[in-house]
Amino acid sequence: MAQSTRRERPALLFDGDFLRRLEVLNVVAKKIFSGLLRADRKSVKKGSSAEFADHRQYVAGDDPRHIDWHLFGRLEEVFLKLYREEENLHLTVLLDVSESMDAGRTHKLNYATYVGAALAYIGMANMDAVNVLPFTKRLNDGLWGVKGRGKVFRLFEFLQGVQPSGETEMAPAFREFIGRERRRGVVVVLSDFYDVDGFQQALKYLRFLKHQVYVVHIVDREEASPDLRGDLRLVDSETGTAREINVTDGLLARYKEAFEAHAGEVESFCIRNEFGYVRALTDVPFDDLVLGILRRGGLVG
Amino acid sequence: MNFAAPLLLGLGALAAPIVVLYILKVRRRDVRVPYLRLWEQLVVDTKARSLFKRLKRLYSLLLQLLILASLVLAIAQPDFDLKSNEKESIVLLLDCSASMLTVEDGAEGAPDRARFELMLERAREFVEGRSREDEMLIAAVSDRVDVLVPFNRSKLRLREALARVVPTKRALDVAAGLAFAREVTADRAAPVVLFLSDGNAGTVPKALEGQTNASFVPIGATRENAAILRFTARKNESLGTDYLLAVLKNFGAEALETRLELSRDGNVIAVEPIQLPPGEEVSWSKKLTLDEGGTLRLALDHKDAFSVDDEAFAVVRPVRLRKIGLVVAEEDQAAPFLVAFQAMIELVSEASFFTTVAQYATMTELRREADITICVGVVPEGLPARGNLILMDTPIPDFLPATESGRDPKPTVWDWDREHLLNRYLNYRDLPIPPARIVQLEGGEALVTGYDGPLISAFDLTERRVVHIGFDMTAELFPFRLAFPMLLRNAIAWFEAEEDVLFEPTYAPGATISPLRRITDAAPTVTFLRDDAPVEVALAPQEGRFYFADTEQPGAYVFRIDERNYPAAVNLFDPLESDLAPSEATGDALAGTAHRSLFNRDLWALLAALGLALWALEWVTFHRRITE
Repeated sequence: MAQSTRRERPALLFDGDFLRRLEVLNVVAKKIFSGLLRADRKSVKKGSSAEFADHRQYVAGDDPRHIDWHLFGRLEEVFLKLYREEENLHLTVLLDVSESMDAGRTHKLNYATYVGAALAYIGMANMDAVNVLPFTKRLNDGLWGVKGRGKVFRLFEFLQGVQPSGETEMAPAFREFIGRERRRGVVVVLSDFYDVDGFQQALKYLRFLKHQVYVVHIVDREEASPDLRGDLRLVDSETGTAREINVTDGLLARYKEAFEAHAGEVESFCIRNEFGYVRALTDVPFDDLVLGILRRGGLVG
Repeated sequence: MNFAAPLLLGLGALAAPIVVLYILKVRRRDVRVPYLRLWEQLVVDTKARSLFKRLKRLYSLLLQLLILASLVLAIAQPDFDLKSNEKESIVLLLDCSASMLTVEDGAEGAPDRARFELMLERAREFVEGRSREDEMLIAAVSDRVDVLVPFNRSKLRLREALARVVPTKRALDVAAGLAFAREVTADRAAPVVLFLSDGNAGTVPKALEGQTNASFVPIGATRENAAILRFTARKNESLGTDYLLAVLKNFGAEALETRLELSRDGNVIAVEPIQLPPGEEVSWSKKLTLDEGGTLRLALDHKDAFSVDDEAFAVVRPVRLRKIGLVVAEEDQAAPFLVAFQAMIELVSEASFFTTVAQYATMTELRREADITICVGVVPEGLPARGNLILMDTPIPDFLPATESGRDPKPTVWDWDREHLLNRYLNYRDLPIPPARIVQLEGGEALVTGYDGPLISAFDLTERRVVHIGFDMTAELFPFRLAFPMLLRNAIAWFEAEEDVLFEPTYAPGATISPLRRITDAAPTVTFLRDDAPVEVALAPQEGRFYFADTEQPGAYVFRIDERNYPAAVNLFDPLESDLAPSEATGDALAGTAHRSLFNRDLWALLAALGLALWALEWVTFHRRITE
């Protein structure tokens, strides 16, 4: 979390091994989604305009509103109707690329990029339209509406070009996002949420357009529990503002409490607003994190 | 206050880099944090304590400067000597003579300790206490001066020197010790001589009287002692009797009644009571016949604080039968000699012979060999190369440094050497003397002198001793016929002294024993007792002489040369060593320096300890937290 000088950010490795790990995630995701994903998704567009695609056997827990009563009348078996339009999901990955994502002993930005890449890959492989949008105090140049597995290298190329810069101001950036993307969809926010005053407003923007919001709170473990002692000059990674502070054991304990309070505030806000929330510790392998996210179903909540 | 190493105070300049380092240290380390606002919320609480923290950091600097000051002062060795700032050159003379072996009673249950140990203890205290700027020389003084360590400032070397010093059983040569001290301090600016001694019967303080910068430090308090001051055994060569003579003295204040134990070669042969009044010398004597010789030990059956002088040793030479060869011109000249030999049966060997000149010429060379050859009227050809000669009324042979200038028909004795062994018991006054040869001496000595020259002469040649009698003592003159055997005995005794007396009657402990004349044996040995066990040492003579110096222990030393034993005795026999009476101190140098040293020794150590303690405090309080 803390370092006296800025350390070189390691290069992102989108190599064959990374691709294989993504494919494994994709296979797992398909297993999870098969029969569950689409039925579990709330229909964004209910009504006749939805294109029928298929039937499948009813299983306990399915929404009874989608039961095809006609078939039941004829066959005396319960089937659900599936609609093609529901499959064409809009997935947006909002990636915090502020300087704070590059501070600390592990590079949160890299970790967030891997997670974002994995989610985007799964989305693209399932023919969803995917937006990958870096942001600081505004939306940076991003990838809009990429589909298909074949675009994955374009995705990687784009992500490799992402550099940390600037301060985090989520509200104006998210407001810009909802201004440009009018279609509802799933929005995954990957950020360290060091925008204490602005993150609530930002997330409210997303809720306003009834996006399914999933918050991945990227946390460096040493950031939560810094190993600092003594008389230090703390320098803000985003603003460069410095402050002389004598870090004592007592102060350190209070810092940990403050950090936990901040993280708890983000989490409780998400819960209150029915957003999916996961605290992603950077020392957990990114694919494990993604798998956990998929299994918990937050992305399709 | 002054400093033993004032130049090292320059290390105080290290304060400057400490301050610089401190300033660098208080420049805070930059740490980049992702989000400062979280910290800033907390800092509001800590602001109130910032003043205290600044002071705390200032304490850190002060502590560091204190640490430096403590260590620099410790290294510079502060010295609270208010008397003098002058660097001294100290000569520490340690009395290592025999009397320092005196055992002093321990006070109130403490173990008894020798004066030597007490002296070393005081010397150590003194060494530890001196300023490191003072240079010190330590010398052990007995009958000689041994430099244990030359002028030195290293306490380590001084300590090592004190650890090396050992006591001796020798006498003390005070003058040699002080002369040495004067010599080594001659070119020193501030010399100080300290003589640690029991006083050597007052000779040490007396020798130091009037000497500035020289002090006597008395050691010991005991005075009771009885000693054997002299013990000799003398053989009357003429009569074959041994006389034992001893002188004893009670140096104590109370009369002493005890016993004397006499033993020969380890066997007690006499025990006699003896009374020793206080402060008086007592003579003791005993007459014995000890034909076989041996080593004698005389011991006081009395235990006192100083045991070295409670026993004494003497040697008794054995009686040896002499082979005498008598060569006469005419056979009837032999009769009085044969009578005399009969009277000397305890001295004359059965191998002795008499012969005429004609028969002598036919004898083998081996047969001619004799301890004493007596030639009457003629000097035969073919005399053996060794063996002493008595020439009676013979011409002067070539090997004697003398000439014959005629014959005195009626000689008269003018004088004689009354001290000479050859003339013992003899009186030549008014004796009628038969016609005698007139001899002119070019060497030798006249024993009896007539108006025209010596009548009886003695020659001490390199190979032999010769007695020349210028007239025939066996002539019909009755007194000489009577005196002739005595002269013969005396001559044997004189020859004996040359033959058998190879060493002095007694040697002082530590003295070098060397034979008084050259020896022929290529591999002599010496046997003596060490810790009650016999020790045999092979000697290596060069040009007929050897030098044996391992004589620290009083006792008998038996030298075996040419298959004969030649004992020698080593005894202390020094009344100054035996007189244990303590002497008064002169000066108070040791006391003064001891006071000075206590301060000096402890202060640097205290400062060093303080510096380390402050260091630990500073580290625990500040450094540990700041450098993480």
